[in-house]
Amino acid sequence: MSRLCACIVSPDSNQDREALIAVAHQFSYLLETIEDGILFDVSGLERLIGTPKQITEKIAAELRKNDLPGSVSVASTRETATLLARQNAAGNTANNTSDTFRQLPLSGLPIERDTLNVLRELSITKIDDLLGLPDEELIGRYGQEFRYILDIIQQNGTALFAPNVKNDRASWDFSLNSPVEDFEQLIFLLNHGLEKLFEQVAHSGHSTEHLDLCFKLRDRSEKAYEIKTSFPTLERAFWLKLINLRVALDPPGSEITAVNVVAHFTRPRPAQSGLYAASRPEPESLLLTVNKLKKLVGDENVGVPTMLDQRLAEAFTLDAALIPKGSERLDANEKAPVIAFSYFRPPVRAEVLVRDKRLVFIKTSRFSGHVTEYSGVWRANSRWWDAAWRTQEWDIEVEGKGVYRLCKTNDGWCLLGEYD
Amino acid sequence: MFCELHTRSAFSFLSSGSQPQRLAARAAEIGMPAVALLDRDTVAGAVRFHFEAKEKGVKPIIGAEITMEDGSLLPLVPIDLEGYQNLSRLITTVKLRSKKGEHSAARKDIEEHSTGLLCFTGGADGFMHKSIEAGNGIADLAWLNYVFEKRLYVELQRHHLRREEHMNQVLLGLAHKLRIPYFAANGAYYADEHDRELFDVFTCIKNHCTIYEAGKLLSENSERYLKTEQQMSRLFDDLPEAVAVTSEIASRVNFSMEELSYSFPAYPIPSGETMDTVLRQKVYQRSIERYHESKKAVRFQIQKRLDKELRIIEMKRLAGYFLVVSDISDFCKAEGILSQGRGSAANSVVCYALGITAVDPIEHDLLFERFLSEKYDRYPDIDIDLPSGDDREKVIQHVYQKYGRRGSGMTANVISYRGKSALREVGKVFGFSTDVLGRLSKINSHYETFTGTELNEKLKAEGFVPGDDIRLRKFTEMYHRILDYPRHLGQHSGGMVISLDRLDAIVPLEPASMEGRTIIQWDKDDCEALKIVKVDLLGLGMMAVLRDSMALIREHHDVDLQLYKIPSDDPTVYSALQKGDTVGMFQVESRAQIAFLPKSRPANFYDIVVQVAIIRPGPVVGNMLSSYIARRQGKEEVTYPHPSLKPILERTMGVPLFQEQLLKMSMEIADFSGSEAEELRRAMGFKRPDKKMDLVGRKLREGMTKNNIPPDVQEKVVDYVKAFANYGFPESHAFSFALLAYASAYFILHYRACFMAAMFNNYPLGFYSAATLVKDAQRHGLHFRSLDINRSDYIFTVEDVEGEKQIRLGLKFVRGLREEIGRKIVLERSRPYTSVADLVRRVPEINKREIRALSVAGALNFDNTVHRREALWQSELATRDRGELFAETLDEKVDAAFLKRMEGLDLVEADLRRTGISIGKHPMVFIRNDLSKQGILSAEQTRHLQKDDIVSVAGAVIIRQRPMTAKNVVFITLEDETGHSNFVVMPDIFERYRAVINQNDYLTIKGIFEDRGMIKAMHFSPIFSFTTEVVSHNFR
Repeated sequence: MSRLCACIVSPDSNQDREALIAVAHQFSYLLETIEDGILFDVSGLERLIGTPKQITEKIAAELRKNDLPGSVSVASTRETATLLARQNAAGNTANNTSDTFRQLPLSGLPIERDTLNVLRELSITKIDDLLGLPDEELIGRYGQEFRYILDIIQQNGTALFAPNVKNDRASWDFSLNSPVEDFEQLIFLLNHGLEKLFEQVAHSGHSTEHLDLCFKLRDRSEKAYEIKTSFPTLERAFWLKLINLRVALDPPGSEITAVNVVAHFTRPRPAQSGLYAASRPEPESLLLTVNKLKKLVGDENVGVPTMLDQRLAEAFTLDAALIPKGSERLDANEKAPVIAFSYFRPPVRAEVLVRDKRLVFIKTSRFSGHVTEYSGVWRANSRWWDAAWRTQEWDIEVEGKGVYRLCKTNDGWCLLGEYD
Repeated sequence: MFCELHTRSAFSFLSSGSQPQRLAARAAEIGMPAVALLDRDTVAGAVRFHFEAKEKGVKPIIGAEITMEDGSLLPLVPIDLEGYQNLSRLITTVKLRSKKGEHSAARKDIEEHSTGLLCFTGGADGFMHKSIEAGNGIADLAWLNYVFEKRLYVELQRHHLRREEHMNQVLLGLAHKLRIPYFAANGAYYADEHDRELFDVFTCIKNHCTIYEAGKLLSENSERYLKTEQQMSRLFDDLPEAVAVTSEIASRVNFSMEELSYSFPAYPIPSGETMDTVLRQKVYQRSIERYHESKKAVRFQIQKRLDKELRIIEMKRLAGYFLVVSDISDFCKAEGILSQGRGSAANSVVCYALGITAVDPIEHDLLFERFLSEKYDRYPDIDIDLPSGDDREKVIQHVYQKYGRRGSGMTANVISYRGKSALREVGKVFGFSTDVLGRLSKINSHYETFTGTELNEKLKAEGFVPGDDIRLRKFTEMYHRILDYPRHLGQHSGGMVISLDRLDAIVPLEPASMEGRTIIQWDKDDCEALKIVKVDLLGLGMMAVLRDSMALIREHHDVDLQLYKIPSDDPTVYSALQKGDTVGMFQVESRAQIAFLPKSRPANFYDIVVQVAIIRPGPVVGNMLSSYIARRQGKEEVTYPHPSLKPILERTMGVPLFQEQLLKMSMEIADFSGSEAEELRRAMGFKRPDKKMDLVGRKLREGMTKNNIPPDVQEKVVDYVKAFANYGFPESHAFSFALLAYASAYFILHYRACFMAAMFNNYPLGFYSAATLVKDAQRHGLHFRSLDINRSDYIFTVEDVEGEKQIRLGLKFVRGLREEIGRKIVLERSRPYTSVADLVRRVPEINKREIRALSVAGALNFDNTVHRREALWQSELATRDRGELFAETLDEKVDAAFLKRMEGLDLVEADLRRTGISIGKHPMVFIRNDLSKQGILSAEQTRHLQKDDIVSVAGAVIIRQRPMTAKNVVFITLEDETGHSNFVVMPDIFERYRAVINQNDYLTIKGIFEDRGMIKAMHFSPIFSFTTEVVSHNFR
């Protein structure tokens, strides 16, 4: 039985890669993705489907069914199939006649640009023209390497498939018979699902630190959650708690009709970091604590403080997505001591007495007192190109109270915070 | 009184948001008595700052921040002339010893150049700040105090930033400890608060980031502007003495830029002589030789004229200058370099006698006063045109050698942000994608620049809505503000300044991008303002062509021609000019000139002078062109705006065409003094003349009113002046150019083969592509001989073929062939090459691509024993590395019967692709039959059309032009085998077919024939029969 290769070339191969693999899987398990599409072995399908032309049409029909643009060809070598398919990458057509192949331009062949230019000057622009030149003349000029090109155009290709489609995730789906309003009711089901899912992950020799959870809702919408940890683990109870906390923070909002969980593969965590390694808190418990805090005070109020490289009145943010590693304290110790500053949230309104352009007395809801020392005014402004801002601040020492940061806005005076 | 002693201008490139003039003006506005400009390692903005400050009544203080080895800056301010000279020499020393942009000063340099300089400790990027941060504060301040004893000041800056106070307290502590006075400064980077925005934009440009990514690179606030005394006193209310001392420091500075007494180098003279006597002797001696063939009437005037000129030269102490220029001219002659003086020097008999210029001022009635006048306080201007390339470089290097690296330098050219560069740079800052930048660039292309409302309208038309989007609004605002800001210092095209003493005592020198060149930090306007005389050594491609033509004519015709000896009344020259048959001729070959020549019909040399000057924006915009033509054709009466102007305008039929006429008119009817006329000239030459021109216009009106000139005449004169601000030509330049135009016409008409060979050898130059020049030459009966490895030289040569002079193509046009290989091929040709293998054996350095190029270009046909494709097939074998064992197989006979011979259009296209020219048929010939069947005409057929005939013409597009004076009308020229056809495209039609016109090399144009010999285009369609590109003159 002769060998048969199929090729699908798609104008959106990156975007449609998964779908193309799925289509190819229907015809063969020997797949190789290429830059602009997919190659697969269809040898032996003659008995099931018919002639190569019929196989081509069958693959093309499958593409159409899935609404995928692309060009299909079936030929005796992978190179021929690829060249033919590339000829009409945008059209959902089949083209695999010998005449068509001979009329293909040389530009599709892996010939060096310089050589291609020479051939063009010699008025040799198609495969048919090149076939007209004696093999030994070509090899004499371009070396034995050119034999490869000759093999392609003479359809003697012997290159084998290099299967390169690998799984990088596992998933578990479940459709509910009747919609469920309360997520808590799904915990048992999810526990079972995670068990199955983690079995798959472990079976492939991997672990996971990233789950995608998606609920299909009764109103036909979807609610998705991306849950990540900073370490790989397949501990079901931990993941379940994490999912529970996350869903509690942001509930689906409608009845759940189906669940899908995807686990992204990663290398497993070493079981033991060292016999004499200092004992540390389990990362799982830190993560759970952070998530419990988030549930208590809101997602936006918990995170790792991060300085922003921007000119802003408050040039820092709390990065809720960043997971604390526990090494922050160590870093802080290495730096020179700095004065800590606590922000008041919200800023505290104040009444300030100014005499002879000097700050004299301050009164707030928290305290009042004489200003013994002050410095400023400190001015800052930026973002004139979109959202302009401007601040005027003073650092003041209030008798018997402490050192504060005072600012003046259009609405009056307020205390921004206190120096430690 | 507070004086700001530390400011930085846009000449610190990308480190300031204000022009130096604005800093000076702002200082005046806030009543500051003195202000110091300290740009980074430069005094490039100093001259304009100085004059603006003087005009506004502010004391200008010039200094510079010097970049130290650790990257910090040390501000230095000269107290006196010696201090300035030291500063200038310090910058020169530091810059000349390093690569461009990598300079820094060592402590030793500072020590050696410290005399006469005040030193400040600087701001946040200053020397002392860095030193304190490194823990060396006291030691380094002590060092500075030792070097600048009693001339060192600790600088305190406050910008309402918390972090500054700690450093200020440390500095104060050190100052008290070492008893060094301190002063308050604001370290102003811009004049006004709102200029901070531009400063931020420059910061982004400098750091190659967008404004959104710049983050903390941007300034924290907008406090670095010029502050008033009250503001500074409030800022330093704890240190009032720091503010008060600034005026005391300012008063210590006694140096002014006007002290820079520049003197031209003394010319070496024998003892007992003066430069005046040497010049006089030289001039008289040379005039005998120069004038011995002249008419008696001319000879009669020489003595009187020379006496007068020499008297004024002596009075102005310029003998040295003339001797130096004469020396350059003599050097050119000795080296066989063709040179010709241009500019107002053409009015001087002294210059003519010395051989500096080639136009005889007596014969052409040129007045010396236009060059040098007792009345004008203006230095002479002598430009020397030289053949561009090696010859010009040789002359420049001669000057460097003779006057020293530090005694001479090229003038700088301040490259400013202009339409397209401003749009691109500011667009990048605002994060516009490449695609959007492309669209934005199209709005302000190199042939149309929009600003203000017009730009907003264009933005709207392109789908941008500037008003709706803050990003676009800010972008357009910043774009407008950045225009005219200096971007970098370039090199002037040829201006050289030479000094008696070391030039680096007057202005710092720095290395130019070109190896072996140094530039001074001032541009030509700065030099002029400080009365520094420069000599322009300009490269002109046509000079090289004339030089080479003369050599070829001597070789092939045995005729020895000299520029100033060509007969100026040759009828064939005038006949060709009158027909507009001028392709290849200097200055008169453009499409506009060819259209204009049959109407103006030049009949004598002065008509050519007019012709050279008249197709310029000034005369076109001011309607002088149309008026002159009407008068010349007798359709309009010759009148004068005022009877008193008749002597000035008589020569140009009552229409002012030259800059000199405008100056003369202003002196005649508005009583302008010499210096006022000079001011007018400067205003006309200013790049953005509006403001200056308004001022001069007002003065002009006042003068005319005083002389009772009627208002309508006043209006007319002012209109003329305004029109000339768009660029008018000086008559003296026109004379020199006219001589070259005449010479090129004379050579082309009498020695076409020699002239065209010289043209190709100096290509690219002129208006047309080499392919068009070949076709035009062929239509004039010149025959070309094909490329041949056994006959072609590297350059184009002239061959005698049965008494006819023909051109043999040179190897230099073979694209991809290295010059050294081309020359080696010719050098190794002691016996003919017999095959490709033979060529490879004898010129082993030749590479595969070069052999391929030669094969396809037809150079390896070996007397037609092989065709081009066979040669190429052989080349592929010959260039393959086969080792010594199989080396002999190179010579094996190759059977290539399977290859088709290259013929017809394939052959022409191969020529065009590989050499840019084809000596075969014009590509249009191959589709002529099809075109004829469709009723599409050739260029020749369009000459017999009647007005309003509707026709279609096809051809290769060789010109697309949109002159800025033509109100968006586009001109297109098509070329076919019979000649050229010209089209005018109205703006609406152009917009409709913009893509077709711009993206296709061959077009069929349908239009209506107009009586001006033009076809008004109505419809365009592309021709897809050809694959080669046409090199066209596009929108330049």
